[in-house]
Amino acid sequence: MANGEREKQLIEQALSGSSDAFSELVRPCHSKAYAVAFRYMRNEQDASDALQEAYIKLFTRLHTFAHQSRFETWLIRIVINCCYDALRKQKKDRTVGGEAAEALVEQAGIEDTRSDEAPEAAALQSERQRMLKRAMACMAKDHRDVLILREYEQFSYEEIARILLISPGTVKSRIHRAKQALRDILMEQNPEFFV
Amino acid sequence: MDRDHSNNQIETASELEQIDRVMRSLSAPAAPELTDRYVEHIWASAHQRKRASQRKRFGAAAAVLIIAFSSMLSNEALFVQKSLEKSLEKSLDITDISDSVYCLESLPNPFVRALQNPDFYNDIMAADRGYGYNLIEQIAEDDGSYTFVVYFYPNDEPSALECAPTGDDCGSSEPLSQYVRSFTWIESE
Repeated sequence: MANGEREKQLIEQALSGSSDAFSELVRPCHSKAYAVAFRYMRNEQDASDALQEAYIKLFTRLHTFAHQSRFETWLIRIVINCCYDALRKQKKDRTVGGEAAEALVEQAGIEDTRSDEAPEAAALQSERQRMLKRAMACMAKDHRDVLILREYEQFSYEEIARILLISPGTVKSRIHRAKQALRDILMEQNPEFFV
Repeated sequence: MDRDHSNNQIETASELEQIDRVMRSLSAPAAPELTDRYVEHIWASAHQRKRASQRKRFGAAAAVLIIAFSSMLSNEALFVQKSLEKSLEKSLDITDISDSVYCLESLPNPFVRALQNPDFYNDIMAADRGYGYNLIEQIAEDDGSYTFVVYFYPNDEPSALECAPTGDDCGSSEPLSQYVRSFTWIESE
């Protein structure tokens, strides 16, 4: 990640019209930003679209960046907001065939199953991953945010606090409550998740 | 009781651990490559959106200006009247004429010139009931003098204001002549 001074330079150059500077600025955070988008959107195409939208918004607001937080933190916040905008739009656009489409989305995503696992165990793992994703989709926004950032993307409590504009203490307690809530949802939807 | 509680805690911890394990097993796919073409596309879209946003802001500002200008035009008549009153006030060196003269812009020149005469002006002011007046007729006499027939409004009711200039009877029980007076004025060299 570019240091603060280099970051400032790149922002100034990007604002002056250098697309190379913009590219250099976002490159170090690109993978993480895409991963976060994927957790929210649950399929690659929607994640790519949301990330692209985030980059466009980032550029149009680049002049407002106050250097009070890390650039990556700011970008992730924009990505999350773009994902919620896209999800709201999807909900609005949902038509009669929407349920089938949603089922396809449910199936999408990369599910890790170790090649050395027995086929039965792999199938079971894959099924549990699907249950977990479905349960995550039913969670309250606040809970989902902290779980995605902490459990999937391993951001620190301080980083999550800066991204979500809450205190680190709130992050800790929210993660704890989010896990309890996720457990309750799984118990209700798919008690077979727990072996 | 304590044992039940303890068992429940162990059970919950085990369930949370299972959730953690499954969560960690879910990895995100590789991000699409940040190619020059990809960045150029974002760059172009962002510029396009900035321009659209500027056009939108410019459009909104223009709309505000148009509304303000229309509003100004609708008040223009009032503005012209006020300006006329001010210029007349200045030329007559009097201060409260605007309160008593309602139809100033229609006053013919001889009457305006007559008002510049302090005696004539005082006569008019003395006849004024406090609601203003209107010149109904102006007769140029052979000897160079003018006869001005002036209607003095009895009140500020719209009906009184509307019927007065034509001298029509507005259904008032009082005779219209009660509010009409004639003044003779000769322009001194």
